[in-house]
Amino acid sequence: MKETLQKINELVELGIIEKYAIAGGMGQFYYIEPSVTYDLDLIIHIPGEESTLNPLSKIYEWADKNNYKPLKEHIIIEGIPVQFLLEYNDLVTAALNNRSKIKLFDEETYILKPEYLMAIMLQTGRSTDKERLTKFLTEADYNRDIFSAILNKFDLLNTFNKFNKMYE
Amino acid sequence: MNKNYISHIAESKVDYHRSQAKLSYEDKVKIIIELQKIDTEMRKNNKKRSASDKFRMVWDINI
Repeated sequence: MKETLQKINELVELGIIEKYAIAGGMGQFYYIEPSVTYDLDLIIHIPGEESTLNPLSKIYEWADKNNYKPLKEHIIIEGIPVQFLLEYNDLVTAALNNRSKIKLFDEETYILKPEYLMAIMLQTGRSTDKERLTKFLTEADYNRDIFSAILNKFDLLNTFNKFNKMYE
Repeated sequence: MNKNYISHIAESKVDYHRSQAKLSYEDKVKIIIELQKIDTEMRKNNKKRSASDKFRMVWDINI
């Protein structure tokens, strides 16, 4: 995985990606017990993406030059299927802007904070998200005040209260 | 069944999951790859699950 993270950081050094953070299952498993997953989701910000019809095109060009094969919506980078996801709403943008800098496999990288991952899971609301959010509430070290502030800011307090009633 | 016994089992499971959550990320990645192998094997024997077209591939990495 070290090699995959090195290559992702190379995308930043080349200016193809402005910033990124590990999200999805691999982001969640930094904080909770792992379960099976098959890809590495990255939330990314690309410079000037708003003015481009195909904002991921430079990533695919880079992958082609490096002989990394695209497979469905993923690119296999050093043995790991990586999915690049553009910030798709205000909550995800805030999560990316408040990411944490960490070291994994001796490589510097970025990951979404637990409070934002929890809010995103709540907002997305798939059965997997609900299951993992329950695990976050019992297993993860997170700041309740920060989580509450995020829920308030992104109008998720009622959704969380309903979730709590169902799962407590 | 004894209610105390059941609640004891439930509590010990919660403790176990909490301890797994505290493993290093590097150890968690090793677990994920083992789970991918198990999932792939079980999928072969389950027609309903193997029919799913969701993208799945055991990671080809050295740890």
